[in-house]
Amino acid sequence: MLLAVLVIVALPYVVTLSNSRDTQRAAAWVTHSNAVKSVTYQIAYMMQDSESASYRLLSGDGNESTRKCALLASQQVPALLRQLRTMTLDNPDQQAAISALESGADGRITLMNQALSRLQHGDAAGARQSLRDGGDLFAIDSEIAAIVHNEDSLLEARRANAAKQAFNGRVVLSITALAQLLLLTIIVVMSERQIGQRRLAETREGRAVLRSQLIFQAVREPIALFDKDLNSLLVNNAFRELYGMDPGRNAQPLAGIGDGAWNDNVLLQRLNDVLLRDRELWDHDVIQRTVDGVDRHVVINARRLQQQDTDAPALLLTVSDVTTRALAEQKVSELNRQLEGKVAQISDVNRELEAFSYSVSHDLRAPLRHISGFARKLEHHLGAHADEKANHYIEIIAGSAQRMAQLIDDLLVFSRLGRGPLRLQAIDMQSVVDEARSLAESEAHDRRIVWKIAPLPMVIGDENMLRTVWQNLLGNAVKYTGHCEVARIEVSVQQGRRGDYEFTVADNGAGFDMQYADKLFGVFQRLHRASDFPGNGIGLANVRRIVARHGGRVWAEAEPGQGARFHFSLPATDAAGAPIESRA
Amino acid sequence: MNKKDLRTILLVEDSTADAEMAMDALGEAHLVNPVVHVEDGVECLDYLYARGAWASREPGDPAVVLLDIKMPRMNGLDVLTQMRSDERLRRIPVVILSSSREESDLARSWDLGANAYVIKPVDVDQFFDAVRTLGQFWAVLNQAPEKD
Repeated sequence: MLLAVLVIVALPYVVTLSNSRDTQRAAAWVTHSNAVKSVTYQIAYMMQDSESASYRLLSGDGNESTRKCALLASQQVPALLRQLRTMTLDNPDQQAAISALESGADGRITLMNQALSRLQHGDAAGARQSLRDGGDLFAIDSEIAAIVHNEDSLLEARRANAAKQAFNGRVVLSITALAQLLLLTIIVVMSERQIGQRRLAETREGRAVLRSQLIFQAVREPIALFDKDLNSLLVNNAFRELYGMDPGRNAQPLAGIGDGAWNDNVLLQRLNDVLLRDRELWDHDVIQRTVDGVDRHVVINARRLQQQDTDAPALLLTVSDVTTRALAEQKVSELNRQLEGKVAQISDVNRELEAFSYSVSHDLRAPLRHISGFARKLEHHLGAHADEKANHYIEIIAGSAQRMAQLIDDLLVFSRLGRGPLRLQAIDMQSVVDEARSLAESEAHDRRIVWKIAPLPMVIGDENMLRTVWQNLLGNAVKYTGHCEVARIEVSVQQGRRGDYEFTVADNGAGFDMQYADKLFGVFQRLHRASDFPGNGIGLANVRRIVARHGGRVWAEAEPGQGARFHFSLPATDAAGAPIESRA
Repeated sequence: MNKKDLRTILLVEDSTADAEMAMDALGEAHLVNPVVHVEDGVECLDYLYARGAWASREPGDPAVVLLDIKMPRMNGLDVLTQMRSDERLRRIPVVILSSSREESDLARSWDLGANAYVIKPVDVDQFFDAVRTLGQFWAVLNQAPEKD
């Protein structure tokens, strides 16, 4: 680029310089040619003048000036001829022509001198003859013309050459002028663009600064910048509001801000450390009484900033008001403590329940066994002595013990259902229902039962527990249709909008009075006499407990003699098996 | 009758009523094996190691130990643990005879190496059947390795 600039700028100078030299040289050549021509013409005129003067002398003109004029040529022409030769030393053509002229002129001057000499001796005729001979024998006009012509054509050639050079110069000048124009255009365009870019960058920078100002002011977190003497440089609105600072005042000392909220020697010392030793202040917890008279729990962070315009460091201070968070945390930990207490209580209760059921398992059944065992021993012992009444009593004693053992077993199962963890897994309800149906049918061989079981989905749950649910519901359906000629039992399912399922078991059996529906799911609650339908009233209690532990609910509708419909729902579960509803 | 037939049946049972019923049931099985009744775990181990009150008993291991779980002093599961960890006692068959249907009792008994777990039925006929069958099986049918 630099080279191009140099060439473009220097070339016109060089070209112009050589042009003007050419012009000067051309002018010098013209002058020279004219000089040559003028000397040549001078020779010609001088010859002519001297010859004319000679002729006038012949015709009797005895004037002294005429005589002098006649002698002039012989006196001066040789010198002029030498001058001419010197002037055209570089041109061989001219030298040749000058030689020819010289010999001609010599001849004519010699004959002219002869004529003058003859005239002096009175031989006018001889003189006239000599003059005539000079004119006839030595013509110089053609030589003069040749020299002039030579000089003219030389001049012409030089002019043409000069014109060509001038044209070339003009072409080069035009090209360089064009190049200069182009260069200038490029420079102008480029600088325009650069200026535009700079202006754009400046605009952007201005906008960015404005934006950061806006953000700085809009941030809800109080932020402030202090100088090395802890006087405020820049505070945002949040800071100003929190500490009730006067917007008009600048450079307020930190210790005086917020009615002395910052007048804390430890904190000020730490902030000075930040400024002087570049130690960062990280989550410094303090309680400050702010302008609204509230004791606030704030977390202060500070770090040193190097200001761009000066060498002095600045302190960037951010304040996080964590009062509500601290309160919430306090509340959470309080609740956690309560919860831990509750959990401890619950695990205490669970432990007690565990111990209770262990004891029930081991200890409560033994006396019953003894009652029934020794009743039998009594029976054996009495043998033939036992009358009908004695046998009846013994039977009741043994039967009651038996029944109580059954109640204890049922209670233990019921209690276990509430205690143990749910073992959640994917369960194919279809196969669980089929299994439960087989079991229920096996206790009703000679009955006609029409089953209608809809396709059932996969669910997440505890398989053993849900099996118990179906065994109870289907077992009940079979049991309570015992008096029907043809029992109809129907199992169906509906999917709710939230992915939950509602299963229904409907039968055409004995049904029940809805008045007592709330008792249906209680432990050992029965709506039918044991003599009509055997049972001890634990099954539906188990169902309710299991369904509840799965996050669902169970309910029923019926009419005496018209059958019953039992429904239970299971909420949609996520992949981990947690009921979605319970989290909502 | 060879020597094996005369091995004792050791009944470990703190409840005298249960013990009486069990003895009755074993009696009904018409076994010739003598039945020894001890009342808790400590006494059971005394018998097995032939020490203490049992130091002067006839030598020889019982054909089977019918072991209750819940007993004073040392319970049945502790006895079982001790038996299975002792080279001399580990091969003696142990049948847990308990009132408990608790899953945890069953699991622990099996884990500790019980040979059977029988729940004492409340129904007296079932109870007699169970004990009779046990006695017959373990004292007569079951073949134990000769002691080396």
